[in-house]
Amino acid sequence: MNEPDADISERLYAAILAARREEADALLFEFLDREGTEATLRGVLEPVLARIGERWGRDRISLAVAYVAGKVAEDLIERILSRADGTPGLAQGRAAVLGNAEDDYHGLGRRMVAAFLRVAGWRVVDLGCDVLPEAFVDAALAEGASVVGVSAMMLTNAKNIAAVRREIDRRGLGSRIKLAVGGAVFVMRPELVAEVGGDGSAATAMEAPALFERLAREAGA
Amino acid sequence: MTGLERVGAALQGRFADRRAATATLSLYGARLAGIALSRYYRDPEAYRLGQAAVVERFDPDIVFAPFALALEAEACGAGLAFFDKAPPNVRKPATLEGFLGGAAEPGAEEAGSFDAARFLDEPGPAYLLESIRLLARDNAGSRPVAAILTCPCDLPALVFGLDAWLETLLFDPPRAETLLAAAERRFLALAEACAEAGAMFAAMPVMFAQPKIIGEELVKAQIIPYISRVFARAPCPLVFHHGANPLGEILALFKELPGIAGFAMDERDDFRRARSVLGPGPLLLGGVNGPLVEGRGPERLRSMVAAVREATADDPRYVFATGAADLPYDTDPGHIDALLGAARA
Repeated sequence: MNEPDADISERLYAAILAARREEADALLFEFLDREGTEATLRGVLEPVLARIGERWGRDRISLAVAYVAGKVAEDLIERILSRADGTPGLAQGRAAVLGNAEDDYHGLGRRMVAAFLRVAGWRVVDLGCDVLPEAFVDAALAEGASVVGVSAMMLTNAKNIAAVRREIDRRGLGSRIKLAVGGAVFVMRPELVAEVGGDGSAATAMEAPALFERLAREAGA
Repeated sequence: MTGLERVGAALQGRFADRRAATATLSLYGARLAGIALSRYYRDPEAYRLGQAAVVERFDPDIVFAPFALALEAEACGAGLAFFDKAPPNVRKPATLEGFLGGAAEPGAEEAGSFDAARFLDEPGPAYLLESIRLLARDNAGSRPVAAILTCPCDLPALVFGLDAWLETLLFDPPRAETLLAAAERRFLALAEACAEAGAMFAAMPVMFAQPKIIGEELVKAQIIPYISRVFARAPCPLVFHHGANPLGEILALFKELPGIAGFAMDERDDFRRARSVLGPGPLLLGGVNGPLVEGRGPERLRSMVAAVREATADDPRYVFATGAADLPYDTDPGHIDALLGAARA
């Protein structure tokens, strides 16, 4: 990282920690106009998100700060997508399918995961809340996705993820489509990941891109 | 002694014949009584039957009113989903108009237009209140009834969704103030009606007063002053429930809150340390988190209860209770026997 990148990273980090979203957006947009998409995403935002994610993983920052980080990431992606010169590589990366498990309506974690995946170059197909198992697998096949991410907050709904596992296996897609699971209940009960047939989980939304990367590799994507 | 006497003794700082012990078996009553949840969470008589089955099977020292916070959200305009093995949840968040009626704009004053009687007559509050009346009648003189209410700082999250409430709290202070004022009116109206219906106290899971959720600065600057003001006007004793996170590290933030009769702790909390932070006054409740009872065998549960009993042996103001959410529907009844049996031994 060169000196200007380091300076803007520090300022961006401080703005996010203080929940100053407009200031964070302004810093990133100005840098984007000057240095372009790749430098902004990979050189500035990703390292800052990694730093925040590391602190979040150690319980050193609040959900609100992580939320602001997700919003800032979303704002930047929107800005990039709206640019007249287009954004090769941003929205054409590997596809990931996301959704909340059947009967689950807690979408905050899923939306944060979507934001961080997009920053990491994934094309996210977000199916929303209360998604049936067949819909996850249908979408993964239609979009060529190698990873399906299913979120649930409560234990009862997390158990519905097992039906997604069964649907993937029933169609013989276990080696091609990997199942990422997440949500508060998996942090409280890590053994639940295996119980519902998940191929992996991440403790925070910011750790999701690394998980999806690993699972995509395992799927041969 | 009865459960009522044991809890009364704990409140007065006296040891009883044994520890008061309870588990949050609001949902579980439906399983014991064989009642579909779509009826159980709408029909007070069905709820009464379920809790009568809980009392007969497990004899808890405290019986709980419906643990179905989403019913409050419904009365604020949200749409619900009902499930086969879980309490109802919010399926469709409310609109601002639906929540505030004609006072939807930031800064608008809803106070004049809020009709408490009409709010309490909505299906959710009416069901909660009638359930409490029936439970209080059935358990009169034997065990207290605890209402479970949404903390006013959490109500907008329940009504509009976590992210919408975070967005408002962080980026739209005038609207946050409007919504908190509206939540205050609903909380006080419902708490007063619960007390009149026979609830001895009201437990509130609290999320949006936790630094882990919104950061310490916002908690201290906005939420603590707000809930202090609301709790000071509460018509019945309140139990500050840990929500889903341990309270120990942050307990000092809440120890001066008015109206708090006790703190319901997470199983990861250290009860000795909590007592040293809080001083001798408030009750401490907790022991094992309810949702985790299902996945632990009787021996493990007994050993966890033994550890908590040891940590609280000298503390007359301790009540054994399950923490976090309701016990899951599929929990083996033998696990509950092991848990409560160990707590009473």
